[in-house]
Amino acid sequence: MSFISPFFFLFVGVVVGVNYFLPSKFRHPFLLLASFVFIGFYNIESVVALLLFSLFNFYLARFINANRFVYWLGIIINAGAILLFNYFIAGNRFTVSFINFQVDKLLLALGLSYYSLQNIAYLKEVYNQRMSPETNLSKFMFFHSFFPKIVSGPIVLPSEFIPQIGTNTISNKALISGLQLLLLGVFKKMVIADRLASGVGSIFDFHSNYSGLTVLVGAYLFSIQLYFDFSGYSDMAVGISKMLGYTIKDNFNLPFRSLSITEFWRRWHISLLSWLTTYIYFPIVFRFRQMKKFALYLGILMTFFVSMLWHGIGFTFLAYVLCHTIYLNIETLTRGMRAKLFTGYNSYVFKITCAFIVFNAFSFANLFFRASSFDVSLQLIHNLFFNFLPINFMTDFISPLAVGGHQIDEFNFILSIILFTSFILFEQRINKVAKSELFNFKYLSLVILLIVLFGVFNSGTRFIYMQF
Amino acid sequence: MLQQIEEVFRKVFDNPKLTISENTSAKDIKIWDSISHIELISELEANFKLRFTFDEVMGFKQVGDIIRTIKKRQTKN
Repeated sequence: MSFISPFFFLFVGVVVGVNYFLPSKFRHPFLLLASFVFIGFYNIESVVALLLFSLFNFYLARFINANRFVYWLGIIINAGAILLFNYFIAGNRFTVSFINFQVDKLLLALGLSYYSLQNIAYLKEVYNQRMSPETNLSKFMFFHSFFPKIVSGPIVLPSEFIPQIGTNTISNKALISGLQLLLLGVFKKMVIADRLASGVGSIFDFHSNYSGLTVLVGAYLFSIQLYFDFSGYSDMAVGISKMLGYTIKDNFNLPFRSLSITEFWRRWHISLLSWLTTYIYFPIVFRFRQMKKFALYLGILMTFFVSMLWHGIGFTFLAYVLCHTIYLNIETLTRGMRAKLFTGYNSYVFKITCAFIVFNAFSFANLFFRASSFDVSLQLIHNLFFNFLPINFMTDFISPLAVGGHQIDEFNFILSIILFTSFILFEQRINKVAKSELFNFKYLSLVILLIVLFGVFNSGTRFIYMQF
Repeated sequence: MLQQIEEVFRKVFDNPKLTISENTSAKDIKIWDSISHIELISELEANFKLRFTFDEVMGFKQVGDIIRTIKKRQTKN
């Protein structure tokens, strides 16, 4: 069941309605059942995997009791599941000639790499006695299976979610705010991200023909598509959760307004970065803190190395995380100098310049993230630096970006640019209205109208982050 | 103690005019991020001749938390 399908919206409507009218004590068993139905629509193996991993971690946590062996057994099995998940995904992408076996659907289960991170956090918290093991199996299973966040997070810590189970009350204000946020997510996905998908696809999938300028604009558009796709999904997840009586933290906070890469990573995929900072970066840096800056470099390197293993196996992901490791280490080295610069030059122009540099650095790394292979990314970079200007502006620039080059395609392309530029400019205000608990008729009508008029209804595209 | 901690803050954040209070948090100092946080901890440990635990460091949300932890440690010793 895709997040963008009439059937899904019908499903959400029924679940929200029934949950609202149910007595509080029946709500979480009902939502647990609804979540299993949702996951079952994806495939039955995903339900089995979720049951197995939930049972394993639930009972293991009860036996940890500061036992190092049991703790590490749990960490290895959960981390191993993520690695195998990525190995099988990579198996579809890259040929592994010396091994020949079928992709195991059990390890390609929906949301496995997300709930495995949640399980690792849970075991770590219990092992360090920062939380007690959960005693209610159905609550623990519900924490993992909650359908709004199963597809691509946000990654939620058990201490943030489990206490909400059974105590949730659903106000009309939460219903309004949740619906407004859900529609904002649909708008981001259908009107902006999916509209950009074909242009981005034509640049990255027919890479060798295009000049550097076309590649540059393609990379910019992919960064924007990725943001609207993933933050659109996250808004939908947070909005639906709100309508069901649960609060989940936002996963994005105006990332394109970041003035440094360090700040960018505090605003982008916040739940993953928060997990990585808490469970990888801080422990490493804390342990080696006497080594001063070396500890920081090591912490950044290891954090992004783990991020790479989580995202996928391959040279493209390695190059992507190396880019960000280099950016962050340069920022760490120049922190004092940059702080003085920020105090001296605090103008609007300076801030826009910084945000533009950050956007360019992010887009450059995304050439590796989006490219289908490492060779393709190298080809794109070669074109970027050594073959910049298009020979024929119409066929090498407009046509691939507008996918076709006909007047209607050009109109679509220009419309996309107007839509996402306007959105980014007024994003803070739009977010405020969407998250408000006041019913805003004008906002709702406008969003629905824009979805109906400009939404892409036949793309069939999944969310980009669903593959991780 | 606040004055002594303020000196450490000034050194780590390279700002001789920086003033702090018990309520000062990362929101008030722009470059107090995950990177400078560890530098700060290291300097505080050297200055007060003690070693914080990981959980203590993770619990430092504002200057008041640091003062309370140091005082608790000094009372124990």
